[in-house]
Amino acid sequence: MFGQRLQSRLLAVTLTGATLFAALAGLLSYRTGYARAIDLGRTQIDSLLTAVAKTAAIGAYAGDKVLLQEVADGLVRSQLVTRVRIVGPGGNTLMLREDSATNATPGALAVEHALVSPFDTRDIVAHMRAEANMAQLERSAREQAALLSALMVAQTLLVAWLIYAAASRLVSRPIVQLAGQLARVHPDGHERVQAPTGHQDDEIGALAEGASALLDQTRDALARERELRRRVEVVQAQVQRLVDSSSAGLFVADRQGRLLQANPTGCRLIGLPDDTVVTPLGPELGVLAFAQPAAWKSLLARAESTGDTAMADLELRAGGPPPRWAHVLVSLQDDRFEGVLYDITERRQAEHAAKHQAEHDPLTGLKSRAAIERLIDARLADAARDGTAVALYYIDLDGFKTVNDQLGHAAGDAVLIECARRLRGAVRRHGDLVGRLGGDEFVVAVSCPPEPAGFLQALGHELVQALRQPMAIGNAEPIGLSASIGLACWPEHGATRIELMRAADAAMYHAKRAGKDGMSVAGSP
Amino acid sequence: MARVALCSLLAAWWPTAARADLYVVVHPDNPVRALTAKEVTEIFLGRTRAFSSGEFAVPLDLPAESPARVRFYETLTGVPMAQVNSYWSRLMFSGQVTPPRALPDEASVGLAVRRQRGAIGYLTQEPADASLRVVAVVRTPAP
Repeated sequence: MFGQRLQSRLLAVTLTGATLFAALAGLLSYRTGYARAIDLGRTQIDSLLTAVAKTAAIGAYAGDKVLLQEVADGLVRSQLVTRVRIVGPGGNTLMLREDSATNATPGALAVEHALVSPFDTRDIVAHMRAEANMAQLERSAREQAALLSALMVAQTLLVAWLIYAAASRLVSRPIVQLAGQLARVHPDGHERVQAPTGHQDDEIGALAEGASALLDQTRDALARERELRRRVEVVQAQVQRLVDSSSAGLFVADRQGRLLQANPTGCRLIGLPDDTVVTPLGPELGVLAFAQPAAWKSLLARAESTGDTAMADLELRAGGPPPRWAHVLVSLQDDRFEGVLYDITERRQAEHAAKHQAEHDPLTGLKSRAAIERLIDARLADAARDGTAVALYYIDLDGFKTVNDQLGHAAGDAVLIECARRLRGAVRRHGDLVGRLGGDEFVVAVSCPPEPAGFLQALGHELVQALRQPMAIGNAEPIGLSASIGLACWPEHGATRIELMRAADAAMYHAKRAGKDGMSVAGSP
Repeated sequence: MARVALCSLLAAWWPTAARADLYVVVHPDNPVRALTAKEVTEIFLGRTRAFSSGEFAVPLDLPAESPARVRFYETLTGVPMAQVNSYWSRLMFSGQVTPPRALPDEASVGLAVRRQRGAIGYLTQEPADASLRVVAVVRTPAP
């Protein structure tokens, strides 16, 4: 189509130009030819007059009218001249001859010659004037002008046709051919653009060569790019597999903490279906995934302010109970948060169990000695800071050894469990500590305002009362037991835990000696 | 005529140079006293048919082969004799104007002028008596 247009445009341009030029040249050459023909007529008449001037001059000089008439008739007989007048120096007409067949045209072309004396060139003896046969002259001029004009037009058209043919054959047709080849060429193929026959060494050939070189380069570039893309795809697939199969949860969130993307593990931890790969502008991740959104927020704030990776253990909403935990690492990368979630529930549970085991007496579930010591230290530190007091009850069962010896260890253990239950029941206030130091020795620690003597006495009696009640162990007879309790207060009875415990222990022995089943306060006689 | 003047000038400068004047003569009764070279030329070439007095002019010539005749025409017209002859040939073709009648010698010319009132001729020698009147002298180089 394009080639057709190039050809036809070339034809149209050449044709239009040639037509315009031919019209112009035709017109111009007609006018020129006409003017030249008229000029030629004048020249011919002039020549005629020159030829007969001598004879006419002699006729005029000698006054020979016959001779003058001969000359004039000769002129008029020629096709060119229609009227001849010979006038003497005084203006008198010496001779007038005209062609009767043609009418004199007003304003007709006229040629005049001065006739000089045959013996003295300075002596003008007459003037001879010849008028042209305008009808004849104009007809001949028109014929000549038309011929010239036709020749000119024909030449112009011929040259235009030659130019068109040459341009078409040498330039436009090869270009059309090239364009056709280029249009058919496929970037995946191997074919090249061939220069049309006879154009191998000219610019058309260079064009074809250049197009071929460009094609080759493009193909090479395409092949390289394909290879590169294939490699990138392989690497991407590997990375994708790694990400998909990773035991770590990976996620991306925007600056507002809204989830953008997560791998399957991440989705599971967050509590989304596995195939939720992309959730553009999903819900806020903190609300979606974590039990404490505030902790998540502060983690993000830390990552944002430090520009480094921030990490924390956060409780997850999904997967419980028991509650599941994740170790979360977050960093800000290019205006989005990237994070890793490690499921640490198992580890955390193990830690929790170990800690519980360490801090609790396995038999009774009360705090262990070590936990009690640590907790009392903490209470003392709090009290020292707050200006409050700490009361410590040292409790020892009376006659437990007898139970153990007579009813067996199992009964003894049951007794200890029951005692623990009763102590816990007596000390209901949250924060009061109940622990087993070992054997049949228990301890209760209470934070209280300074000088709370009445309250402490009442609690001590309550404890004594609770342990005094008979205990039904299995199907056997209920066992009657009691306890001796020593009370020591911080800071009156000891500055440190050890001193306080020793003072309470001493008060307990005092109570034992005083007859058991009662409480003794440290420092009392 | 320029040539005539030039020749006379040369003659004045160069007295030894050969010179042969021609004497234009008329009948003593002719009222014309003098003629210019132009007037002589026009009479002898047929342009003028009469003298200023109205007298019909009859020019008389020397024979065609006469050197004086050649000198006379060539000096007066300033053109070669052949051209003068051609001039006459064309006029004779129409038959309207005829050249002067040629007489056999100068004596015949002198005789004819003495006999005819309108006659006019030219001689190589100045006439010795009053039977002829010289109206013009044509100064020509020697033959």
